[in-house]
Amino acid sequence: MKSGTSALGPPVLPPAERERLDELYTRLSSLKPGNIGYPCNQNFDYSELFRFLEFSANNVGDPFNATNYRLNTQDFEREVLADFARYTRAPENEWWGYVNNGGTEGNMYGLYVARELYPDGICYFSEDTHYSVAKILRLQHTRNIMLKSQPNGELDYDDLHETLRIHRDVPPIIFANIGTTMKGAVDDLAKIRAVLDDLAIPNYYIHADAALSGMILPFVDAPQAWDFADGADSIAISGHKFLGSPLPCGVALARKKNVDRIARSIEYVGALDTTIAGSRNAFTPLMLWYRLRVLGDAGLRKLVQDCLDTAEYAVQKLNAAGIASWRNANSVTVVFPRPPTAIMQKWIIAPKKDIGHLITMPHVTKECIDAFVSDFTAALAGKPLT
Amino acid sequence: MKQLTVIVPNEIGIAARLTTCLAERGVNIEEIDIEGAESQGIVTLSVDRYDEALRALVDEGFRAITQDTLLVRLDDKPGALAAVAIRLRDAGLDLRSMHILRRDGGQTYASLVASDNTKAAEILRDVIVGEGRGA
Repeated sequence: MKSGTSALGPPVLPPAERERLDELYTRLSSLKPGNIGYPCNQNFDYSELFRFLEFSANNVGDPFNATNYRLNTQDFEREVLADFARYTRAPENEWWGYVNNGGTEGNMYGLYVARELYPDGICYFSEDTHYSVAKILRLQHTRNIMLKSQPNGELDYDDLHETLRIHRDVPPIIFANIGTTMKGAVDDLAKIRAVLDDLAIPNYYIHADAALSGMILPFVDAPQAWDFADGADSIAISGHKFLGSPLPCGVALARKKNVDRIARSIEYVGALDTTIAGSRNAFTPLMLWYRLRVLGDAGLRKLVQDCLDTAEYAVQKLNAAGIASWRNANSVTVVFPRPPTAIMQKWIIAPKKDIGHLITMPHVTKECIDAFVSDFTAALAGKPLT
Repeated sequence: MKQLTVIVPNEIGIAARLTTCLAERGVNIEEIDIEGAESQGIVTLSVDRYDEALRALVDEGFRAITQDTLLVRLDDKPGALAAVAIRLRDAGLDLRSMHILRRDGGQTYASLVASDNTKAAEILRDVIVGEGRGA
């Protein structure tokens, strides 16, 4: 009886399948504390929201427009968006956004708006940009040129200047990394705009991929130039990275005038809806809302400062152990030489070429760093890991 | 003829590693050409099982470039890629994408897709890596 149907009552899971679920739970639980190589906060408790899993809720369509499907959380979604608009210093009443599936959809949205505004534009992005961006650009048939990066992972502004100088007649779409995947580098929007100003380029679009650092920079004393006030036209931030969530999610924000313009241009479909997906998750906006309300601005600031402190602690500990490591300003990404394979497996480290990194998410404690450094030094000395 | 190009570090045993990873997946190499440079080599392969070869190379950590893409070698200086794009534009070709694959020893290797790769290969003959690509 594979499906687990029971003649005496509601469907039940066969014992063997239940055992598999128990094994999965044990496996995930054992991996959780050592998950230091990926930017996914494992510290959260959403048990207060579990009762909302009883409903097939759906936030289909634009969160700011009424929907006929009344089992939705769009009122909570709008509150989440208002908070993110504040964190990103969006111009008052001149922004629009929605909660989506994560960083890639947010980037897809920003680049979609850009491509609609400038169909002949060329997108420029650095070689440290996440591979998914090239995929999006191909999907959207947007012409693109990769630019060089500096050794710290930040965009090479000289290469940007020379490249734009040669292509002055084509509107540039700048894809800026606000915290690169491997090195946590921030492409400074002030420097990018200085290049555009110097070349007297009137029409351009800047999208900021702030997947991780978009929840860090609003809460530091000296952030790099990265948000709407610094010139971004659209911003993507992940929800499951720094805030933490069992389901991937994110926020896309854009200047309202641009969104309105493309909404007008696609009005023939019968709705002023520019969101990418049809059915949209109604539970993730609720989780983001809950997390933001539980933490508050003061709680978020403390969380950010604690994570930055742990990152600095990791740099100091690794260097003291003879393992050259460093991090960018305002970054929780600690970079070090590519570790031995056993270390990468145990600590779930994602290497790239000759480097590896750890990311001090809220679940990564100083004790965890101590254990990692101890393992790393042992592995370099050829000793087996415990 | 299905062709793949792989940029590899110029180190002892790399060709053996590359060919072994293909052999283990049952891919037959019909032609192989290895061009050594200062710190890296360019391996051009013709194989019988193209998609399987691509998967095997990627799984082994190699950066493989398909024959739908042109490979160019340029000086590593600001605007070098943009200059290539201009040459294509002046010839009436549309650049679809241009991505840096490797920067090493003062040189940049980049992949390039144009509206007509055959014409692009002719125009960029001086910087194209490998012969007969893009056809």
